[in-house]
Amino acid sequence: MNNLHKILELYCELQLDLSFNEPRITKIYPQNYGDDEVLKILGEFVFPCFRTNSPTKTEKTTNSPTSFSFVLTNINKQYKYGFCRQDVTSGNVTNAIVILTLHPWHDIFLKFLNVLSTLRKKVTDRQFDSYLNYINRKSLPDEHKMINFIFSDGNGIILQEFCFKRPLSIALPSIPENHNLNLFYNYIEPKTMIEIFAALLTERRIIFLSNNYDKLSSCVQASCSLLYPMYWQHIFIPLLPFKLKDYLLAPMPYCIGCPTSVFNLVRKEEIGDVVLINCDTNVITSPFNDISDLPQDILSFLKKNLTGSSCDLRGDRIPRVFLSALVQIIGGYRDAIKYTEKGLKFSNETFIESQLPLYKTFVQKIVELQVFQQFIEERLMLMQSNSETTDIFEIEVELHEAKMGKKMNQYKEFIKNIKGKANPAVKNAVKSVKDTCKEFKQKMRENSSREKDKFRPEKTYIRRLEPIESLQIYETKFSSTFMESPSTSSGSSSSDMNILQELEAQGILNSSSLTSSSKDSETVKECNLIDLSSDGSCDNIAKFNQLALNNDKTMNNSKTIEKDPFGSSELLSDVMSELYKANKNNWTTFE
Amino acid sequence: MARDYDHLFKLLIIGDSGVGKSSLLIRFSDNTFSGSYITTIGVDFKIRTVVIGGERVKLQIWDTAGQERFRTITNTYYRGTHGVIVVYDVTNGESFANVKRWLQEIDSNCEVVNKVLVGNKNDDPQRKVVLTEDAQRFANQMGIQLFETSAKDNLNVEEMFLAITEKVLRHKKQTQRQQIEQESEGRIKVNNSRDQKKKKKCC
Repeated sequence: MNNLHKILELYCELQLDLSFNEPRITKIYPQNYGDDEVLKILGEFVFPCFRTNSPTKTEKTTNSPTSFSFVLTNINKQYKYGFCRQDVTSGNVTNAIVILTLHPWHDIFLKFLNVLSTLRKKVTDRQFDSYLNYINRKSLPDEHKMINFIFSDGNGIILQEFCFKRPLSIALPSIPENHNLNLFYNYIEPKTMIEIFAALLTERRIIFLSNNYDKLSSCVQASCSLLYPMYWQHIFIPLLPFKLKDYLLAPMPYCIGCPTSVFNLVRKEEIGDVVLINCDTNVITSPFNDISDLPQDILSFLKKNLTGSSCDLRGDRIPRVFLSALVQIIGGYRDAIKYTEKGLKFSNETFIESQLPLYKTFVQKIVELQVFQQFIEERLMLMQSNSETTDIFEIEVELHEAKMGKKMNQYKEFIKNIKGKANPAVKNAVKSVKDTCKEFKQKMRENSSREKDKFRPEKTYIRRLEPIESLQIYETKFSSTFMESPSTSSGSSSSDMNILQELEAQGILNSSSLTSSSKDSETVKECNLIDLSSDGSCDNIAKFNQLALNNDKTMNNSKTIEKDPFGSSELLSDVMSELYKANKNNWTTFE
Repeated sequence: MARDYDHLFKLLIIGDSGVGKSSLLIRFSDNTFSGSYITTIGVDFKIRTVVIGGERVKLQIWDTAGQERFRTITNTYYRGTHGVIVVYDVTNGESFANVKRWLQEIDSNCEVVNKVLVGNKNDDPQRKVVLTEDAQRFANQMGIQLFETSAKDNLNVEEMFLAITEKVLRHKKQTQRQQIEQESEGRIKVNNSRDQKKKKKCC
């Protein structure tokens, strides 16, 4: 049943003579291959359009060989990857060789097909079979280790050689090594990638269209890989043959690559609402507006890092950017895992509650996804079996959280400086800030212990401090004037200014008007506060801003400022409110 | 291409593997020669057209591989369907437990989906472990209809499919009626307000 240890599950040769009706299988290896259903359907996948009247972009076109991949799904929902190479031998006759395997190593197998094709022409049937035996007898190397096939004739003369490195299962796909990602990058505009991502994250019925099988199949497979660490759970047919065209009517979510000539023969009104992506024209049509459901900062993050003119999307940049977005959305899943008598349990409610308001609506949608539920199941299983979960996702989450920790250190430093140097009014404020600081220390401790205990969670951690930044991709930009103290008499406020400037340099604050103006007041006269009302995450700041406006008409510079991309706003809001409280008292005295 | 039906309904059949979903579908289908693709693309469907009240209803019943791996089936799975046939095996208690969990999930998460509960393999009393009373109690509690069938002996299969079809059809007509009513109410309101305006003008 399980052929994972084998390199090939099936090698097959087929022939399509357009003057006859059906493709014929001309060779099967192993000869006792038992899955008749697969053999019955194989010709359809190898010649997906031969049944259409306007057939065969690939079936009869160029004389140069074409190759592409397809995917089958067995009853246990295990994928089988098909790799196919077609050669037009004469006029109406197309020959094809096919490999079926459980290993999704597109780059390797597409090259391997060429080697086999060359070899096939050089040797007898019998010799070729013994090569195939030899290939399948070889044990698979460990990840990232080389394996070498040497095909020699009976006299020790090497006819052909093929070696490859077993791919790392945890690595993100990368350009130019990854065939699917290459084509995806070549043919799909980054703007469209984001729309595809949004549709996948809504578990839509998604149809990709193209006249080129290779492009089509690769784009579907690369698209679904953007969901990593989650995996598409629904119908997945990267290349749909004409014979199965009615499967486009399936009411459940799906990701299907459909040759354009096949799609043109389907009754559209029976399909229902689908997202259509034409890989040849880069046009995406959808009755939905899934992209607008993405949290605003996630969307701008994706846009900034994918569509910017200076973005270099080669290497693993594309999957990494989408991964960072997912780290920000679901990276805190551990916070919602409880230890119960029955074992570990994930609570959707806790997870939603632990989100920033900006994310809540979206995360409510996320927990309703099959891809997310399966992701959680898989992680719980790993935790319960005490296996180490060290995939790229977990590493990214840790980096992300470490950065959050760093921000907290900066905050501590900031408080310390204020305490040491501040004027009396600010000192009072600091006293009351102390409590807030304690709270943060507590959070930091929780955070660090979480680092240690993350696979043995004993209690629920409510995530209150959310994403700070990921992979330096956010600009460290705080969009506001912090405080403008008019005081020069004590000199302390200028020290405060130093702290603020320091913080600015460290990227915690961006204070644009730190000037001293008045000579006789120790009060804070103008307060331009960070207003996060647009994301609603800092209600108290918003309230404070409002309060400030109401209480003091001289505060004429309060402005509404853009939202904080980091979410460390909560932290600052506490300081700000405390400082305001202190200064407000002073102010009253002066008045 | 002329349509060969008055209504097209897409239904899902869910349940553990081995409860007899495929057999039920084969019994139901009028397309005897068509092969099954569930082992090659992980999804399969069968078609049948039935006539109800003089109207031709085309039914597609869809099945997917590997459902038993899902502890919960989330509502995105049911989003595009008109109805769900939930199958357990009366000789297998675990399959009933799974079905109970799934049904509770649908109920709590989903908009109205027409459902029917099916206890299949009801042909050997000695092997039966899920008692009719228990299943019926659960069905009542969930407000859905229970059918005990045997695909092998062709018992109650036809009745079950007709029942869910009628249910879906009734639901569709009801929704249409409500829409029409709402629209006409809207029109009446508009008319009224026009009348009122006219009256005012008159005044």
